[in-house]
Amino acid sequence: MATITLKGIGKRFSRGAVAVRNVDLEIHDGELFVLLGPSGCGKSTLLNIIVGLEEPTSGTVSVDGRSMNGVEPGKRNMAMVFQSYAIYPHMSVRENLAFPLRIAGVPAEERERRVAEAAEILELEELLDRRPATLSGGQRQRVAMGRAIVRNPVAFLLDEPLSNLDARLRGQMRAEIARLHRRLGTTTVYVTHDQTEALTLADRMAVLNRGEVQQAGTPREVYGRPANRFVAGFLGSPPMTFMRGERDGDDVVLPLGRATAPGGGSDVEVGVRPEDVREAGSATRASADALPRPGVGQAEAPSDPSALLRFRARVELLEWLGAETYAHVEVEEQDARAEGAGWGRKREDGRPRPEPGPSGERPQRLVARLSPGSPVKEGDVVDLEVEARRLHFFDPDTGARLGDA
Amino acid sequence: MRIPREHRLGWLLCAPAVLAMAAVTAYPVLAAVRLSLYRYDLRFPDARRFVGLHNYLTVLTSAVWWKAVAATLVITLTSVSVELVLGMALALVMHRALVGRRTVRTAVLVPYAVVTVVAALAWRFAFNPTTGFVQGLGILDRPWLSVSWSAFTIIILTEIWKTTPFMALLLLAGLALVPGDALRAARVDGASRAQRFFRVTLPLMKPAILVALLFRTVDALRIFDTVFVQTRGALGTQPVSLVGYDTLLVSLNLGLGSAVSVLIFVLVTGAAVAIVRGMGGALPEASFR
Ligand SMILES: Nc1ncnc2c1ncn2[C@@H]1O[C@H](COP(=O)(O)OP(=O)(O)OP(=O)(O)O)[C@@H](O)[C@H]1O
Ligand SMILES: [Mg+2]
Repeated sequence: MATITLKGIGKRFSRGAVAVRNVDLEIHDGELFVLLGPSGCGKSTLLNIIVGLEEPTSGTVSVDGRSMNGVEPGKRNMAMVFQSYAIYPHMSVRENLAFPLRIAGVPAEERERRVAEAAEILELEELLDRRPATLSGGQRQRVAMGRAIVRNPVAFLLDEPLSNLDARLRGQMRAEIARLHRRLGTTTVYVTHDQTEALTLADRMAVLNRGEVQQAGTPREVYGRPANRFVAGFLGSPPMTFMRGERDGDDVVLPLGRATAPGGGSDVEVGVRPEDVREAGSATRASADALPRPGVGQAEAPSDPSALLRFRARVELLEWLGAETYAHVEVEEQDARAEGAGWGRKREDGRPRPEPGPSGERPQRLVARLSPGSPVKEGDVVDLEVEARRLHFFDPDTGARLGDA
Repeated sequence: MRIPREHRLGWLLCAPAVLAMAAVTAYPVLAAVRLSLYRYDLRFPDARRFVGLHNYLTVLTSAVWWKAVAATLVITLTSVSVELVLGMALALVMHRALVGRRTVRTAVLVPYAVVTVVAALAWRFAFNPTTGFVQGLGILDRPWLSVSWSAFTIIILTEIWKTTPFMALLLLAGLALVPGDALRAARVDGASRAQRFFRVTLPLMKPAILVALLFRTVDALRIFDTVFVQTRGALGTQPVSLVGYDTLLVSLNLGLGSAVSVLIFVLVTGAAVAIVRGMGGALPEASFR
C-alpha cells in the first residue's frame, strides 16, 4: 500500500535526449493509475524512474512521503512486469515465482505457501514445473504477474503487459488484471499506448506526449474534457475530427454552421467526436447513448435547442461494425449554407463572407457514428446535426482547451 | 516409400563431406591405432611384427608417461581455471565498456595473435637470468627456468597470457546473450550485484562457458610449443605431447609412438566428454526463447 508522488521529474539521457520533462503526478494509495501515450513519449522511462532502474536527472520520487532518490530498486519493494515479461529462462515457473522470496531470505516453507497462493490466484498450478520456453504468451504473462504478486509489494508497475498478446487474449487478460487489482487493492501503475486499456482499467490516468504530462484525471474527465488538442486527438476511436472555426464576434463560423465559442477574439480549432454527430431528428437516441459528461462543463452549457448545428453531408464510406456504424462524410457547403443556422447570414461587421468556405479549398470531412440500423447508404446525402455544447474548442496556436477548461 | 528416398538423397548430399572427413580424420586415427599394435622401430625396420597390446603395456607401466600425464594435467587445470576467471572478468569489462569498446576488444586480442613460439620465447627471455627484464625487479631475481615449480609457473603464465583473450571473447559472446530485462527484473526483485551474476548471468551463460571450457581444455591438454621452447620438457615439465614427439620423431619408434598418440587421443576425448556431461543440461537450454 503506498501513495507515490512524483515532483518535477525530468530525465535527460547522456546523449542529450530528453525523455521526461517536469512531471508532477500523485498516484493515490490503492488506485490503478494508467500512463497513456504514443510510442517514445517516455512512459517506460517514467516507470523505470519510479522503480529505481533509472535515476531522474531532476525531481524526486517519494513513496508515502519518503524520498526514494538513490534507493536501490530492490529496496523499494515494488514489483514490475516488463513488456518482455523478463521471465528467467533457466528457471522453472515455480523457481521464477520463488526467486524474489528466495532473494529476500523467506524460509522455504513460507516460500512454498506463497508461491502456491500466487499460482492459485493466477491459475498457474499446472504449470509450476514447466520451463518458460514451453509456455504460451498468455501463460508467460501470468507467470510475470505471479512473480510480481508473491512479494506483497507496495506497488505494481506494469509496462505494456498486454502488448505482446493477440487481441482476444488481451481482452481476457485485461479483465483478469482488473479483477486482480480489485482483489489485492495494491497501488498499480500501468503503462500502455492502448486507449481502450487505459479507459477501461484506469481509476485515474495521465496522458503523456514528448515526455510531458498533457492531462491527468479520471478516464471520464480526460475523454470528456480533453485539456488540449493532443489529448483530444489521441483518445477516441475513430478519432475526433478537427476543423477551423473563423471568429465572427462571439460566434465562430464552422463548415457545419455557427456556434458560440469561448475565449478571446481569434479563430479557434474545433473538435467533434463521431458519437456526437447524429442523423437530424434522432435526438432521443443520441442523447440516450451519448457518453455522460463531467458536471462542470454541462452546467455552463446552454441546453436550448437552437444551439444545434445542422448540416448536410454526403456519405463517402460506411464502416459497419455490428454494434455501430461509422459514416465518413463530406460536408456539403451550399446546403449547409442554405439551411444552417446563421450560415447564410452576413457577418455582423458587414464584411462579405470570405469565399470559399472557412475551411479553405478542400471540403470538410467528418466521421459520424450512426445507429447500426440506419438505412443510409454510401453516396447518400444525409442531414446531420451536432449539439453545440458537444463541440470542443482549442486555441489553434497553443492547442490548449478554451472555455470551460 | 517417400521417406527412404529422401533419406537416400540426404546421404548422397552428405557423402562428399563424409568421405573427406573419413580421409582426413578417421583414416589417420585408424592407421595410428593399427601401427600401435605393431613393434615397428625405424632403426630396425625389418624387426616389424604384430605385438598386440604390448606397446600400450610398455607406455602405461612407464614412469615417464605418468609423470607427463601429471605435468599435462597440472598445466591444463591451472591455466584453464585461471583463464576462465580472468576471461570472465575481461568479458565483463568489455561488455560494460561504454567508450572505446572496439579498441578495447582489439587490444585484448593482441596476445592471441602472437605466434605461440614467439610468445614462448619472449617469456623465456623475459625471465632469463642474464638478459631478462624481470631481473631488475628485486625479489623476482632468480633462475626461473632452472627450478621445477617456477618453470611450471612460467609455462602456465605464458599459456594464460596467450589464450585468456580467446576465452574472454567466447565468454563475451555468451554475455551478450543474457537478456538485459532478466537482469533488470532481478534487480527489481532485490538481487544484489553478486546474486544477479551467480543466479542469472552465469546460468544463462552456461552454454558459452561450456564451449569455452571445451575448446581451451582440449587445447591445453595438447600443449607442446610453449614447453618445447621454454624447457624442452626438463625439470618434470614434459607434457604427454612431448613424450609422443620424442618416441615418434626422435627415437623413431613408430609402434610405441603411435600407442602414445592413441592414448593422448583417448585422454583428450575423455576430457571433452567429461566436460559436456559435467555441464549437464546446459546445451538443451541454449535453445530457449
Ligand atoms: N537508454 C537510453 N538512452 C538514450 N535515450 C533513451 C534511452 N532510453 C530511452 N530513450 C529515449 O527516451 C524516449 C522515451 O523512451 P521510452 O522508452 O520511455 O518510451 P515509451 O513511451 O516507453 O515508448 P514505447 O511505447 O515505444 O515503449 C525515447 O525517445 C527514447 O529514444
Ligand atoms: Mg516502453
